Amino acid sequence: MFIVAHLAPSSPVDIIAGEKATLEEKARLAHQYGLDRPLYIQYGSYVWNIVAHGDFGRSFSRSQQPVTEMIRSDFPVTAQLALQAIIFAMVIGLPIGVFAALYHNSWFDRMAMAGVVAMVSVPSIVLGPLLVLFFAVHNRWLPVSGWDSPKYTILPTIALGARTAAIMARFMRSSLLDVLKQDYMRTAIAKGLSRSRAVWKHALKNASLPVLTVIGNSFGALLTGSFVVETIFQVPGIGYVSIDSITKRDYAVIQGMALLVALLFTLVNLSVDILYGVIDPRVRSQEARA
Amino acid sequence: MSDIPVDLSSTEVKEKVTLSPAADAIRRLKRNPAAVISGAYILLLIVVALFAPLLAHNTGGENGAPITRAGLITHWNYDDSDTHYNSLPAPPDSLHRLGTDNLGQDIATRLIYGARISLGVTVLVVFIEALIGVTLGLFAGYGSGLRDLLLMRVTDVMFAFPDILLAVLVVAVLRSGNKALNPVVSIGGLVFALGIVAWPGLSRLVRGQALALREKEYVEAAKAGGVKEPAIIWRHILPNLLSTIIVSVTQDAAAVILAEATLSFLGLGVPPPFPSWGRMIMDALPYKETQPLLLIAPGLLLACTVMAFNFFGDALRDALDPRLRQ
Repeated sequence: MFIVAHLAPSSPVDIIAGEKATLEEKARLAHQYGLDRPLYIQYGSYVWNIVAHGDFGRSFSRSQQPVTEMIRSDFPVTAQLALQAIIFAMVIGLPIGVFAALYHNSWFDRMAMAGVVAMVSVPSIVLGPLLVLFFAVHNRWLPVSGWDSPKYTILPTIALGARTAAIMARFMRSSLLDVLKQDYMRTAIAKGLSRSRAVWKHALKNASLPVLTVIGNSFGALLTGSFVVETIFQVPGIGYVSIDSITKRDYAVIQGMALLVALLFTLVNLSVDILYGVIDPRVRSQEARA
Repeated sequence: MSDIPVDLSSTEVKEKVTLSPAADAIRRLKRNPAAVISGAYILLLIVVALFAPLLAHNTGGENGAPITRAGLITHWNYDDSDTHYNSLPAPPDSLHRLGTDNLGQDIATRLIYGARISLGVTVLVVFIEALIGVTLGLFAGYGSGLRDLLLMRVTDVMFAFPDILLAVLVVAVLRSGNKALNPVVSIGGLVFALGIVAWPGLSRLVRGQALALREKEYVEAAKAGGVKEPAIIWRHILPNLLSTIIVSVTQDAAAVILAEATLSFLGLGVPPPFPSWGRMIMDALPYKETQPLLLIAPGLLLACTVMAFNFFGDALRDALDPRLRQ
């Protein structure tokens, strides 16, 4: 990542100094930021500072602000947005999936599945502006952009979570349909359990397992989506800052954010794997055998 | 009275059984209304993209000829005196059916040329994806052991990072700061970035199938008959993978279109003089209150296109996938 960022054809010095800067001025700036040292020494000191001091370097473009400080102030915003989007997706998507499976092939099922394909196809760069157009411009019910009160978080949350909601609905439906066909469901109903009790007690828990992996997988999509949604709604999170830094070629910030995102992504996938083992004993026994 | 009607339909049914797999798949596709509609839409889009210069109203001509770069066009107004730099977008009129943007560019024309960019980028990316994905997948799946292990670890690493973010980084590196962008480098970089992040999924799929096919009797027979490994892969493995590859690539096309639009939206995709739907959405944001059509038109087109590829990919899978035949 470090090397990739430094391979870029233009140097940040050009941007800080501006077009009219003389060569001496540029050299002075390069020296000030340590950019004139050999690449491997720059990399060594970069890694050492992270490991030893938790220091990700400083921003070139934002008046020397430390990257660690930027992460500390911006990350909670993105985390809140992502969390709200996941909750929104679960609250909307899971019940739709469950009802579509229970009333398989009904008009509700067909409507829901058509809606799912439509929702999966409408990207956040289209949905976001359309939401703004309808709820903020046309009807002035909600603010257009910004991040002040909970009211400001509604539209970004929907824009970010809608696609995930559709994916969850689809997975919940197919997963529950599979479970409903199982022998133990027939047994449960044969022994006198009502259908709703059988579904509630036996089917839902088993059906929710595959959905758990979807939540893990959708995290990557949410992170990507947050870049777009934060840009549309001008939410001061890591996505907005990252895109801004890329256009300004702010190495330290790009690297810090990329590291953070990769770390988060790995952590979430790991915890989903672990959680899967905790909930499903079959996975554990398989691993014990292997 | 002695005439007994001959039932012709029963003989027809018998003939249908002997259809080739491809004809069989096409017959299945034709029966699926979603496939027919989405297929027709995609076909129409391809035609529009190919014949863009004929369809866009203000092209060619000695006076007021559009500015062309590298065979692609940025459309300024027909009449030069009508061109307003940094003016406000204008509502639709008889010449500009969807109005013009803040640079006086005709929206309908930009949408038509945007289809060219969108589909062009998608075709190139999918080609790179198929080339790398299939080659490496076959390489790993057929020749197990070290090759397989090595390749699967590489795809693991690629999977460890969200697709578009990786593409964002690659594009960010290829861009040359705030200087004027060379369009070939910019679009080439975009294609490269999207292609690089797209192949791991396909290569895993191909590997899995190749692993299974390797154990088939006819491969065993070919081996026993002294056929060399490349010939076995080319003649016996690859043809059996073709339907899987086609389905996977069609479904991925939707994701590529989306990724191109997203990157262009973020200002990291197709550079400004070229029309891209994603970029048009971004450019329309400041005018959402006065000219919502500027925003809705490219957004709708983008959503419809992604939806069409999603539907068509699913229909193609149903028509080609042997496991779903029953």
